[in-house]
Amino acid sequence: MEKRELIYEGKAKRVYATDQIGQVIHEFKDEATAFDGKKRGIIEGKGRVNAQMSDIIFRYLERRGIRTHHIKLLSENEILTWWLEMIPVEIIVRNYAAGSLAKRLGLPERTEMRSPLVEFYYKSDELGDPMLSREHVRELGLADEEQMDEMAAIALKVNDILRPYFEERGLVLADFKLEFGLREGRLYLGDEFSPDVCRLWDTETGEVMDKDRFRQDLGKVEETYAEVLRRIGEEETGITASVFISPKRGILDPAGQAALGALKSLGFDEVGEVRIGKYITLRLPGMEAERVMDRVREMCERLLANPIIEDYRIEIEE
Amino acid sequence: MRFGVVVFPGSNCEADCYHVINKVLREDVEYVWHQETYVSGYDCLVLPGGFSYGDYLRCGAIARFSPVMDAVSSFAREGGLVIGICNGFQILLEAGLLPGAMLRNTSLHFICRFVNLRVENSSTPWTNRAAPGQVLRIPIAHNEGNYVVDRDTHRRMVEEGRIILRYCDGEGKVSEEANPNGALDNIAGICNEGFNVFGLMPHPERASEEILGSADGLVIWESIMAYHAERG
Repeated sequence: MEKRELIYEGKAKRVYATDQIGQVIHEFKDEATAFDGKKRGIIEGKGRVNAQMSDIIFRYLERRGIRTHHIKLLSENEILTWWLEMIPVEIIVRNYAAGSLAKRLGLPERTEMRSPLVEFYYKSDELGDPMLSREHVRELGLADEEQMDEMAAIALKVNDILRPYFEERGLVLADFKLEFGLREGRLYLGDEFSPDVCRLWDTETGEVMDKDRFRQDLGKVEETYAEVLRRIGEEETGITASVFISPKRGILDPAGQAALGALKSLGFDEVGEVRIGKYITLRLPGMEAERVMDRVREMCERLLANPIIEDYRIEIEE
Repeated sequence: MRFGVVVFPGSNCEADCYHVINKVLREDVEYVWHQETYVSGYDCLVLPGGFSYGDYLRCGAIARFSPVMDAVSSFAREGGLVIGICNGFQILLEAGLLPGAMLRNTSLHFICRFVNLRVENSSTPWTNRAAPGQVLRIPIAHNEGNYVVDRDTHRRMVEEGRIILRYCDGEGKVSEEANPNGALDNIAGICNEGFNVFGLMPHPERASEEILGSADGLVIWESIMAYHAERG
């Protein structure tokens, strides 16, 4: 896979062409904006979190029958996707009133909706992303009736899948934004799914776990993004590397000798030698198998083992 | 003379070092936080004892990647005086500023008591105030002080006089009985090739006032000052 020219640069992403027809690379940036670009900043590690979270969520949705643009995670902050002809309509699903909706309808923040709301917004920076009725969409020719129905239906299905998914991970999915596009005449879910495009609240404490921390200067922004990824990445399968570290041959191992003495005194005379080391497991979500060995070896050389006194052995498991 | 005492999360001897430099030696001293990326204006940096980063993984293994360690390394490369005491010594080993590594004490016990140390080389920035072969009484307090190094490096260190302190008995005899932790060749303190980096397991800052049972640690502090005064 070869990364070619930059096709598009948005507020949080760059999209590059590749040497594969119809496939593009989304590179996620650490830059953050809010209030139509009036507030700007950097959230360190955000690009990495958003790419990896999108990878996990899109794969989860794919497994449950949602057609998405996702192909695979390429690096810690890059995703390979199908190229979509994007429909300039943002679909918002709301389970709770928050932000602009609470303000517009005069509802107290965090009022639960009787049933999930689906709203359409015009993706236009000049106009400030105004809300659209279905008539507006038709009038502007942004999408046809059938596509509108399909997008709304998929959005609700995504909500049905993700609400319990986040609930299990201690997070309330208050609202989220989706974007769709067309590929070979079919509708695909595109864009990303990350704390940038949804509202998440901690189930226990009610704490804000999304971009509102940046919008409202609540602090601990980086930590929160990392925590969300940690929660959803938990049981995500990936490559596991086991590192066995043992005292080098010829190096005295006081703990091993003490255990040997104890074993002998219990009558285990057959034991000739005991060496006590460390066992470390590393989970490497989204890492390419062929790179794992080299990377883990480097981790051992630089930090995990001290080559002066320790030997190490690596086992990789997919 | 101006000292900097580097503080890592988990250091716990920095205040003792600061106290001795400030109140006993009456020299300038400042704390240097582990997140500093630039150090300047110091004549000697002290890496104090403690349990930096909880001693997780290996003693000193994580501290050596602190931002400040790049600055400490360049300071040492330019000939600046760096002394690592106990955990500070372990950090210098992990950082590769001194050769070798630490294993657990052979007894598997944390040992906290006075030991006798023979000064093996008294013409260094760290020991010039000691008589050749002088015995210093200074306490140790560690669980991993069992020094090891490969044979070739060890031989070279002996030839170059870079073994500065050895564990000995009260009469200055270096013996297995006088070795508290199993360290190779009774090694308690070593220098790098340039003699400007010194690592030692004993705590001179805990033995720099008579009221603490020994003031032998002053030999080391005063040597540093004498060296600095002479060098200008």
